[in-house]
Amino acid sequence: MAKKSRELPEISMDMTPMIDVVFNLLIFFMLVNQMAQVERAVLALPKADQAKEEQQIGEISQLIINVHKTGDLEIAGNKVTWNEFTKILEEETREKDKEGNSQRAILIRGDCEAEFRVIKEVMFECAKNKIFKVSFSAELDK
Amino acid sequence: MASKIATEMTEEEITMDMTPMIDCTFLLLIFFMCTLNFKSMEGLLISNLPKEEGIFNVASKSNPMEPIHIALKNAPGSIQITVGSDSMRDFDEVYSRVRLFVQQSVTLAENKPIPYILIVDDQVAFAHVISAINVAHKINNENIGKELSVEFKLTN
Repeated sequence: MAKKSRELPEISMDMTPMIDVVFNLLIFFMLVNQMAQVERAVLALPKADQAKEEQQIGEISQLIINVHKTGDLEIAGNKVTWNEFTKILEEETREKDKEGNSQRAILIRGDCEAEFRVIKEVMFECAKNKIFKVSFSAELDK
Repeated sequence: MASKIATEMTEEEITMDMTPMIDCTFLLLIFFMCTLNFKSMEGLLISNLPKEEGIFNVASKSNPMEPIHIALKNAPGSIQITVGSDSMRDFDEVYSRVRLFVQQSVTLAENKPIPYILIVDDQVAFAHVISAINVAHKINNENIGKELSVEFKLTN
């Protein structure tokens, strides 16, 4: 009795879901990569075990000032000169409360090797503009 | 004959080779995954600048508590730390000394925070300043009855 040769059905894999997932991941990484770099510069932050996570403190509208090891200032992804920085602070602090103080909060992100001289100048400028809420960024050391 | 060829051509299945696109996409994906800087676990140390007139001398006039002065001076290859007039080896010693001071002052009736005044040399690395602030926050978080308020003595 002669064996009948059976034709196997052609197996094909639907690639569409995989391509969808890959594209979604790609878009996610592209967006996250850009967003993370805008406000917070890549700095070697000093370590502190008592630093509080930002979620614990709550949403505070704050101006982030990055101070590089070299003493350069960076705000919102742009390196700024001292004159530009003072102008930005003046614009940010136009709104004052009844006592004439600004309710704007400042977050100073300084590189661990940055000299205190620059941080001090930043604090001077904040105080001149009646900004008294100043926080420092530190890497959680737990 | 011509019509037969035409029907064969229309029936031919048109397929697009997706392999190069998938290769490129995976390469991009791997690139972005590798270059992504994950947000480090970042925290805040809250501080307040003095509201008194004349920001050069920060010691709060309205606060009668005796302040604790922490001086950080740049020394070759290290840092010189003093609490009051006593020299400290490291920030652990600063912590012990300041904690003892705070505990002793608990009995005082005043309910105001003790000024923890930092006097820092211009050349001192920011990491040391953060360590000094960290000491004050550590003591505050222990809830031993008195709080320290971190202040800076800013001089030109």
